[in-house]
Parts: sequence; structure tokens; C-alpha cells
Amino acid sequence: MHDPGNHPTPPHRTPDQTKRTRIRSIEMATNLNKAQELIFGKDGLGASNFKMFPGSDRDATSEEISGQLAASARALLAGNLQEVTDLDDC
Amino acid sequence: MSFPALYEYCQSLSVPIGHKLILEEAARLAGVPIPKVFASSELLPSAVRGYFVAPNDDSAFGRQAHGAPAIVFARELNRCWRRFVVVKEAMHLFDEPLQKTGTEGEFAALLNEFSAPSVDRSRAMQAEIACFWMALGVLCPELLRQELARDWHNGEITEQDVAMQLRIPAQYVPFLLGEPFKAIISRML
Repeated sequence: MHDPGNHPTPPHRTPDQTKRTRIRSIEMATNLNKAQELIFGKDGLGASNFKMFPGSDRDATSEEISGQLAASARALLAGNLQEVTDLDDC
Repeated sequence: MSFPALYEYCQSLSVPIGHKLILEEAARLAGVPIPKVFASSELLPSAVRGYFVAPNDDSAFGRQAHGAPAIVFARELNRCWRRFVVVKEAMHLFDEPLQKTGTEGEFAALLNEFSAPSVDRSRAMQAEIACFWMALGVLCPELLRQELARDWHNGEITEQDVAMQLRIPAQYVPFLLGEPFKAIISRML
């Protein structure tokens, strides 16, 4: 009978490494939710329309993109982004 | 749609066309406040070059910005890229209601579409692509474009020469001067 409990940890990965990977994926998985809340929430940017210009790396994942958008939206909301009036001066 | 009026307005301007002129006229034509432009070190050009956000009036940011849309670009971008990103994002002032990304679900769908392009593009993604061409169209008057295209095809000028003159990213010069441009921009006029 198949017993999942008998599967040993793969030799190339320690239990600590496995745990760190799991924690990292949980953190990554929340980036999309954070970005959605910050961009569309009434306490956030409250967007009625949101668009973006993707980067040069076509392999960038939705989670990576969401993480950067969330951080930037948070800074925008907090008034921490520099407003630019002349693109030659910034 | 007010894009044809903006395109017409830009035909008489000298290059490089100031982004402020484009933003002000686009906002006037769209009947919205002039977008505020911000630089963000939180964005890395490899993943996100910039974004556009139009806030609802009753949101925290809408009240803070007095209803003005925001355009944010990655601080690491050079001058030509900054100009192009800002102008491309400003074209979203002309998005039709069905082209808007206004919910969390539509946002997730748009992100997925960037990662894995769909055979049937959503209206939001169609707007993303249209705005790219619209930005090229307003940054180079048509008569000048025809002259540049002729000289470029004859090998008299390089993509870098054109990029310097228009202050746009050199990698987009072939799109501007290539054969399909006229037909594509005509569909938006």
C-alpha cells in the first residue's frame, strides 16, 4: 500500500531548505492579493482603470510583477514617490 | 473617442514633442484632470516599466489626487524610455468602458495575458496594444515619419538617428517606420 509518510526528504534538499522554499512560496502567493487590494481597494488607489507597461524580461512571472506593483502602489499612496514635472530633470 | 483629435494636434508640433503637451491635450480631450507623473524605484524595468491608474473619486487616492490619474514609470529607465512609457500610458485616457481594467479579476486576467498571451485577446489587452501604436503616432508627425522612413529604407539614417531625433526607444523605430504602421494607425483615426 502506498504510504506517503515513507517518502524520505530528497537527498539534495535539507528539511530546513524545504521549509524555506515553502515559506517563500506562501509569501510569493500573496503578492497578487496585495497588489489587487492596493490597486482596487477603496483604502488604496481605488482604480477604475489600471494598465501597465511590461518589462523587458518576458519570463517575469505574475507574482514578480504583482510584487513590484504592490510596493510601488503602496509608495504612491503614502506620498513617497517623486512627482516628475520635467522628464529631462529626473 | 478623442484620439484622432490628439493625433491631428500633434501633426503640427516640432520634434521631440514634449510629453507635457501631449498629456495636457489628451486630458483636455478626454475631459479628465491632467495626469500626474511619478518616478518609482520600486519598479524594475525588467519586470514593469510603468503603469497607469485612474482612481475612483471616492477612493483614498482619488481624494488625495483630486481625481487626477497617475502615471508611474520605473526610475531606472533612460530619458527616451521614460517619455515613451509616459505617453503610451497617457493613451489609456481614451480607453473605452469595456477596455478598462477596473476589477481585481480583470487585473489578474491581464497579468496572465502578459505572461501567456491568449489567442483571443481581451479588450483590455487590445487597448494595451492599441496604446503602443497610438504613442508612436503622436510622437512623430506623419509627414516627418514618411521622410524618416524613406531615408531609413535608403540606408541614409540609422534607427539610432531616428531615436535621438524623436527621443523614443531605438528598438521601436522599425515599428514606426515599417510598412504596416500607416494601416495600423489609420484604423484608430
